[in-house]
Amino acid sequence: MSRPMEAHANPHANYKVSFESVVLYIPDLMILENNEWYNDKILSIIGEYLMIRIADRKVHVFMPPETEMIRHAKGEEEVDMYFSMLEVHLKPVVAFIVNNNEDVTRANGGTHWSLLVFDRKTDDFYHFDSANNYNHAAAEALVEKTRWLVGQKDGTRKLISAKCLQQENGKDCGVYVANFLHALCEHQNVEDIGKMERIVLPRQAWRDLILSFGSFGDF
Amino acid sequence: MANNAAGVAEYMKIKVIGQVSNEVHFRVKLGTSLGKLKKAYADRTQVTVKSLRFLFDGRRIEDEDIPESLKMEDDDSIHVYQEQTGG
Repeated sequence: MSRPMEAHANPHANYKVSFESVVLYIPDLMILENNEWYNDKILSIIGEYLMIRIADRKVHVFMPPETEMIRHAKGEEEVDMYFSMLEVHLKPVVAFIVNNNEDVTRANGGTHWSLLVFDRKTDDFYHFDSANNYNHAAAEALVEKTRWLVGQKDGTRKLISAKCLQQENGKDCGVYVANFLHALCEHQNVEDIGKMERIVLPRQAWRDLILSFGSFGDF
Repeated sequence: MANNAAGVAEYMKIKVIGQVSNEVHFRVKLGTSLGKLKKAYADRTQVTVKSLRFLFDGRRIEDEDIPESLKMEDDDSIHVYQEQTGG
């Protein structure tokens, strides 16, 4: 059996990019260099950056692994057990980075990213999907598990499919989610997402931002 | 929890709950990096370590975190999910 090359054989193996609790290594960074589909790590570092630096934590953002755990939880009780200490029912706006992965046993699962937002002002959930509501079912399932967590008053309200910019290719949904989230975090106003006329921060801007957090680790 | 001569706990039991296999139990030192635990779990369950995502108490765990810094207690559970992607 052949063994994959050891990490230390690569002179840049110690290079890493980190922001707050997210750490990216070379395989994740290659996604940025090769213009591939964003994975959960790329969207986690973007989400963490926007939540902390741009929204000053006035928006709580659930990153993809957390959203995945909530979406696949058995019920609201399980969601409450693991996520209630975050106290998101006190936040004016709560956002979830959503993936449509249905097979939790599979690595690299899912084909599409979208953004679900709960706005306390209107007591409603809004789904921003750049591919013609492709993730609607996943977003709906997520709403059913998070009404209690976010503190929605009227638990019978239906998910609103919000109008938003639509992607022009089959690979940029992650970039659209990043831009939607950026628009939301700037003024914590959900309506700002639908008002966007163009993508303000293209792939290159996110690549440059993420690499600006890079360093050569000492381990 | 195992205590040393000074009565300070040195090891703890952590449960790793995955979707692929059943619960896997590990005995770890309080200062062990959870990256090591992730690697051990990947070996045990025969999945790629790069695609594993560990969560504890609703938060993502990074490889450099240790049980002590996360204030983990004996018998605490880590939930495992995998890499996701989309375009």
